[in-house]
Amino acid sequence: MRHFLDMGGYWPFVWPAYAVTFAVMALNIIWARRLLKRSRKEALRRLTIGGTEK
Amino acid sequence: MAWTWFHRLASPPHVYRLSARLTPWLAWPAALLIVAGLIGGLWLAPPDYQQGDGYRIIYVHAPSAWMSLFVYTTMAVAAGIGLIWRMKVAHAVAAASAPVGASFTFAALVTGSLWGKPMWGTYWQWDPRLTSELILLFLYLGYMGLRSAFDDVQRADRASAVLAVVGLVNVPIIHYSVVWWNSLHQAPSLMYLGKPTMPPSMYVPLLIMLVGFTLFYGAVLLVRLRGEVLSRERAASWIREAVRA
Amino acid sequence: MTDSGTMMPPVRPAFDSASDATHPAVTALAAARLVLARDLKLAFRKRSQLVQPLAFFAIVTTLFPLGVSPELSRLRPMAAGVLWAAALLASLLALEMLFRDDAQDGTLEQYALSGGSLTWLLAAKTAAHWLLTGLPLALMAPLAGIALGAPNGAVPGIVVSVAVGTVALSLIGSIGAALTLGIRRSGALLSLLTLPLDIPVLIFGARATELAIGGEAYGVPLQLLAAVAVLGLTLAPLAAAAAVRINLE
Repeated sequence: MRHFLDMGGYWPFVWPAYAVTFAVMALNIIWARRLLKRSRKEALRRLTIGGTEK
Repeated sequence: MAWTWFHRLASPPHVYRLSARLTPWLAWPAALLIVAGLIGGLWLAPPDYQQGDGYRIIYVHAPSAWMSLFVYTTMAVAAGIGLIWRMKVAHAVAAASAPVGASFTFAALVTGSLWGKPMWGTYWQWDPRLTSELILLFLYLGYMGLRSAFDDVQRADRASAVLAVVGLVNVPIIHYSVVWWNSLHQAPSLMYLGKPTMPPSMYVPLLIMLVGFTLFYGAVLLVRLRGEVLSRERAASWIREAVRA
Repeated sequence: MTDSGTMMPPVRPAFDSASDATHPAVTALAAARLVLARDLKLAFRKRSQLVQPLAFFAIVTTLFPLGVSPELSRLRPMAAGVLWAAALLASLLALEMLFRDDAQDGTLEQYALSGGSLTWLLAAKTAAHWLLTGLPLALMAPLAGIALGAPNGAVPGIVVSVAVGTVALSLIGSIGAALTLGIRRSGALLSLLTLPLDIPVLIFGARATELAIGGEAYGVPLQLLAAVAVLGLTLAPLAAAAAVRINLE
């Protein structure tokens, strides 16, 4: 296990590279969900405003 | 008859429902493939005879670099379709793609520079690939900047679509010019895939990662697409059911 | 066709041949020529605006000896890069003005509605822009080049490469300028849109100038530069016209 984590001495480069990539992926998931949630809320708000005006 | 699928693709409620239904079918295979690629790349693949274990950065760098170009192309083609056929959904695809592509371009730059440190001795070298990635990041930033400068979604869609198409025409020229420029000033770098024969235990994980990342883009795109489609529809009757569901 | 502009000197001459443009006798090319003449005439009324990009170019090239070293032997290797970076920025500075006035006073709208080809009219405006900024820059670049240590023999090479390169810069820039028409304080955004697209021009242009300064044959990069300019010539006015229509809607 220690040998694996050491990556032949390249651990200061290999692990940050993986960390950055997976952080980007996680952020993409979070941003996408947040965008959908926000647009839904916004759409609902528009609908209720439209409803009261009618 | 043959065109019905095209018309259905242009219909926002249909696209909204279809995206919701398809998302897990892309997300789960993406997750599985990426985990498999990680195991293959970090564990099963042998160390490189020259770069030792340092080369394993390729399993995140190459897919990120692939994404930066693939997403840009998808974005520009969608934008072009949106311009020509005045298709809202196509514009929504383009809008949903840009942040994904930009973030993976960023990841490609960071991982490339992390790979560069042990191979070149510095974090940054004006290597043609890294330089092209940097310019691509600027193209994404310009596209997103232009889009956000408009208040009106439709105008933002169409103006940024023109930019995306112009950018797509330019990308090969930029890449060619950067490679040409680099060849004048330094010997070509041997860092990437320079080895003619990569054993299958090395390249199979790479292929798995490439497919996994692409499916990941598909899943994120579909979620974002729903958001973008909703924000482009004003008071359409289908929204009520879609949002409640 | 007489000049309408001379009849009302204090006012910006309107493109009053807009009605003529629908007339079959006035072809797209003739209308474009009128626009070109009008833009040149307008520019010469505001001479200070004409001089500004050139002064900017001169100042930027002056910064380098002050910032790096007064020794020509150290400046010479970077002269081409300095010239091109300065030319790029100077042409960018002038771009904001390319469509701005015409968009504000409605001239651009008249062009779009004239029934004539907007593409040709914008190509003419871009040609005027090049004549007013690119060409003067090309003529001025050798002076800056010599000040940075270029030999006299490099003058033709510098003029030709900057002249051809600025054609491409004006064309690429016209797309950016058209896209940012409706945006207030668009300067930074315009640079962000335009500069990445300008990179091939920078690379081929700087290489041609570098070879000219070194006294070598610069045909290859000059041809590549010309190829970019020709591609821009065929595509940029179309894209700019599409962008203008989008912003006028």
